[in-house]
Amino acid sequence: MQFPLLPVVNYKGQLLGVVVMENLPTGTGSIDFGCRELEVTRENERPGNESMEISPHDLFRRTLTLRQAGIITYSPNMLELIDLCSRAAKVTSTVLLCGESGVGKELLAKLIHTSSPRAAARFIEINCGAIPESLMESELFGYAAGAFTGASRHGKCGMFELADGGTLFLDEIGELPLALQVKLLRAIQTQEFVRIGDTKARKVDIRFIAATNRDLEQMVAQGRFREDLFFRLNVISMYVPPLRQRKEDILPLVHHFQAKYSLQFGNVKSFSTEALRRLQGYSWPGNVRELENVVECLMAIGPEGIIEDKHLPKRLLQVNTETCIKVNGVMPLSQAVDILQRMLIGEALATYGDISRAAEALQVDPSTLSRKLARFRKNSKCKRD
Amino acid sequence: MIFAQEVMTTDFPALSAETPVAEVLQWFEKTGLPGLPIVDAKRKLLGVVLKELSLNKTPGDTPVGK
Repeated sequence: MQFPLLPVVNYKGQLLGVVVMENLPTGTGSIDFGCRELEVTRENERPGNESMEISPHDLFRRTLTLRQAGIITYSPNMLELIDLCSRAAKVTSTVLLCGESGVGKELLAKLIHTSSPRAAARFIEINCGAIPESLMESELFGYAAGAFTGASRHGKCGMFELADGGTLFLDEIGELPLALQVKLLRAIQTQEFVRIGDTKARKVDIRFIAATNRDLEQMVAQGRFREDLFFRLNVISMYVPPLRQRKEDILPLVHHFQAKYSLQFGNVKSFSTEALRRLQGYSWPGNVRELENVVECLMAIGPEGIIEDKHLPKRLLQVNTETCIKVNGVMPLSQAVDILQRMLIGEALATYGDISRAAEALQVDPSTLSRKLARFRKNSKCKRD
Repeated sequence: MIFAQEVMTTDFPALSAETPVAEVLQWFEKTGLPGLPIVDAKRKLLGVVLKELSLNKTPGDTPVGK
């Protein structure tokens, strides 16, 4: 059944408006509107990816809902991760979000909080890497009146008290000094803490979410992070993929930030096709944060009208031909070639968006590429069956 | 890429599940929309009533949610 209108809701399910199919600018109906974006994702689908079993309606609805929460994604892996977040929101277990800097760990932490029964209570965030070691304990646990020289006469409540009933987000947990790790572990386990200079233990009810861009397991092995705290935090573990592994998100993010800064700066600028291709082809080591900064800079000081590829930062224009293939062990050569082909074809499709341009970049005939894709899909289906 | 917020309509009544079908039909006439969303007191979406399906119902005092 084709719906003549689709409701648009925010992340709480509250109605924002309706999209009437016949009013859409293309005149092709809004089911096509939903499918068109899906087609982009499907073309970008890496061969062998089994997580694309999602209907156009579901994808359309889910991505719109997430957009209201500030999360812009069409990536199947991210959508799976968001499903995991919504399941994690229903319980109080500690969550550990891992991933490179700038991938959106904080947004996911907020999503877990706002989707949880604690949504009405506070979401308190503390960046363990941004606060000096000497102040960290008082920031976390607070202090009693006159606890030390220069302390407030009335004492001060820390993040633990502020987050009581809500969620405490411990960002960059890998930077927490070893001495404090013991105290934090105890406080998480017992949901109890003592202000500095006080004797009275205070009971709290907090849901903990931690995030790091470090390899905590490696830090444990090196003796730089307590193993018991690691296991305490690592109850529900989530890995947020870097932007280079979800290239289908790059253009929607560019358009999102373009709209955001157009509104903020009061100007109207757009990107040429080649500029967009460059943006999509770049590896974005700084992830979404770097992408936002580049778009903000171009919207602020870029030329009026069309932003061409020549206006992009120089690092985006350098073609990275450096190849990095890591070999971990011996496997049949045919299997290794097959894996490499899948990776290269997936990368080319994600970068160029369609078969003919991907084939051109890979220097193969489009029919050869189509044939390989069909074979990969057939093999994936056989594996699933 | 076009986003839904750019093409969505916000000019329509927020009907509740208790709105009589006869009233819903009047709203279809007034707005010209092919369907109308049904929300609760917190504006949470409950469903959508479609014009073509509502026309099959006898206009009366039957609430739209029944």
